[in-house]
Amino acid sequence: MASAQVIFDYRGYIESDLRFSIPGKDEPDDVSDFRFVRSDNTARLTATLSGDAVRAVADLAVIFTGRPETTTADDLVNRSKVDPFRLESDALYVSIDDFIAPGMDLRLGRQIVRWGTADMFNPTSSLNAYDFEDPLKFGEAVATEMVSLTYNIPWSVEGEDSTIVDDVTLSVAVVPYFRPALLPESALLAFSEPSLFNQFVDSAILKGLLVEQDLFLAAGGKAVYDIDVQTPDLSVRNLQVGARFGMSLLGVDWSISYYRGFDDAPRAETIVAGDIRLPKVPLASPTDTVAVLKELDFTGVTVDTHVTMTYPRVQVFGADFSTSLDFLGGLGLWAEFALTLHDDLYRYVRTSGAILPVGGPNGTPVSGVAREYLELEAEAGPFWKLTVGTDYSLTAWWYVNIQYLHGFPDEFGETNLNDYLVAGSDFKLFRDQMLIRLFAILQFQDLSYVLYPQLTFDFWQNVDVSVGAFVFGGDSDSKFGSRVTGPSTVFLKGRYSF
Amino acid sequence: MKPFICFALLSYLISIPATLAAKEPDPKLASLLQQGAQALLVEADSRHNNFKDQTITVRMTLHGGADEGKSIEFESMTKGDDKRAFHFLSPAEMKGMGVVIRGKDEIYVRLPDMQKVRRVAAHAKRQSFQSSDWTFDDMGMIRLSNDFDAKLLDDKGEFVTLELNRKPNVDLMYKKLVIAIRKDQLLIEKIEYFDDGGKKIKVQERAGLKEEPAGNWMYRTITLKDLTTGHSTVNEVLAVKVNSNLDDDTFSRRWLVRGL
Repeated sequence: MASAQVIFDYRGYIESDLRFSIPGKDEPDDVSDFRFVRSDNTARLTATLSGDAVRAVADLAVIFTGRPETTTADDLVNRSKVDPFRLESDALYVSIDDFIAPGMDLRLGRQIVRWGTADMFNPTSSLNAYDFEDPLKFGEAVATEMVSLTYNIPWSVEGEDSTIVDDVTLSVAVVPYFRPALLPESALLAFSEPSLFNQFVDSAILKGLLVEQDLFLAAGGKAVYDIDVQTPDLSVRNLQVGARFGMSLLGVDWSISYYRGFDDAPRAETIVAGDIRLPKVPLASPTDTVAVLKELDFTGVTVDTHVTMTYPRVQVFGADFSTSLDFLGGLGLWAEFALTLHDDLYRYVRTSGAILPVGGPNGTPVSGVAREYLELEAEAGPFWKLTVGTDYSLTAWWYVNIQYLHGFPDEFGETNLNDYLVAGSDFKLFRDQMLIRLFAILQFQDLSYVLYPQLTFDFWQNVDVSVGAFVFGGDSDSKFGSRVTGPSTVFLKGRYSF
Repeated sequence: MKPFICFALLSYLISIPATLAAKEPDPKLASLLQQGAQALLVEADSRHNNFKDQTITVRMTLHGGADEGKSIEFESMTKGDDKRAFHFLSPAEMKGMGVVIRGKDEIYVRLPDMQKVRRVAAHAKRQSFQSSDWTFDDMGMIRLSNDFDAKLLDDKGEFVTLELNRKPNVDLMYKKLVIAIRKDQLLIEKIEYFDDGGKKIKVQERAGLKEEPAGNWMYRTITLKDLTTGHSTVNEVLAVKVNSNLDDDTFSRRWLVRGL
């Protein structure tokens, strides 16, 4: 057998990304408005080895974060603490074309498989978890180890003037290990700052308990959350699978898809608060929690609350299409719909019991009754998400893109979905050497928003420099106004591609 | 006297090769002119697309303005009248980018950083092709006779000049073209582009006509000048391959996905 020629190819970049926060968003009092929040320096290389029908792709990025993590003396002699870095890889796979049959492509390994026709917000794309770590890169996915097989069905129908049916494909994918979404650092504020936890409370029971927590905190008490995350175990039962069938029909690209696995955002399945030792015997009955909280001073008293986060099992049925409308000057139009089914989602909540101090009535310590609840957070059933969008080039240098979303990527459950408008415009100047990009997101329910202006200079071969801002706005308890989404930032980025 | 005669004879001898070099019109020209301008245009289209498939490597260099000297290299694959694919080789920020165009309105783009093949709507054809003076529409005008009706303007000298008027219901930004067809090869050597207001906005000139090993003739250098801005783009054909049995697969989403 003659040996096939192996071709090596590569591309990559070196990038610097500097950001600092700006005032205007709710921040803790002791946090400076202006502070550096990111100083990432990245070297990325994507290499491809390809032969006749086989290919191996390796992508690796080394990112130095620029932020020392030195808190102890031992850290000072540890390079990884003084000068920390991390590795990322978006691809590490082998692919074989015409595997078993002509048109059948197999891809094994670490990869990102994006389904859906919408821009960035793809409710039908469930095989890879979202990477929410960097707000400027929303819509990015975390690469996952999987086996994907795509059969390009050799069927097309030509009409008199144009193709009627083409690009018929059937894809299946199997993901052995569940990978959760990567959350931004600010997401943990919901647990380190109890006052922020109420933004995620979605039931009457929890709302009532949070009233009690607020009283406890106002009386000088301290609440500490300890979070335990339980990802699905590695049994075959927890295998995630997906399938997608698509084609181009009369100029419209459409597909239907199915995914069985887990939602990539965690939910609190159990909330167990530790008991409180009361500082003194209250006049009020220990079982009248509100009265006790109003009466006593809890300075120096800490309540430990243990939260267990899990990932709900889901099935997602998806459908999408995209097309170009000739009669409207080639206007782009797309829509993506996902129907998610889940089981009954229960939550176990145990409140603090009140432990009387020694020497209580009759000299015997008496515990106040801790209350336990098993609430049905969400009944088994479906909820749907939708992205509908359009784009158009008004002139050769002015491009507009508008999308409507029902359900943001991090929202789950019928009662938790909100509606959004996502709009952006590109202005290309000086023969595409300068790009002005204006991008915004508005949530209709709480009117919170994101503004993302960016200026990119491309005057030098292989180099582009961007400066811009990512500004959150809205009330402090709103989706984008909350501290949990992180600070507003100004950024400066430079990239050299090779 | 003798030197003058020698000089005159030398001049005559020098002029004879030019006269001999005066290219004879193509044998089919007279008959085509009798059939009409459209027939001539159809023949010119056929001469330019005298292959089942073609792969060319192009270096596109921009001139004028702040991007003077900026160059882009890509491979362009063509099959039939309605299938084109582009694979960008340089500069580095475009490396790995792929574009497939099928028919008038199906455009698919592979952007490596986006991990996805995206369908681009037909409005994008109005945008320039990678900052050059070419638009996607320009790159897709493979057979002018499909979109324009021809009228004879002039057939004196070495060229036949045709006026091409956009057919009804054709969605192209040029209302009119004026083209010059070489009489000897029946190939289009110059195109003038006019907008809907009748203003001449671009001129394309072709040079470096060469017979390729496969027997087809090809212009190796094409210059497109934007008369409004004074900017120009020069396309140099670095390599050519025809009739290599390009698979239909090359003009599919699968080809683009493979590159991710």
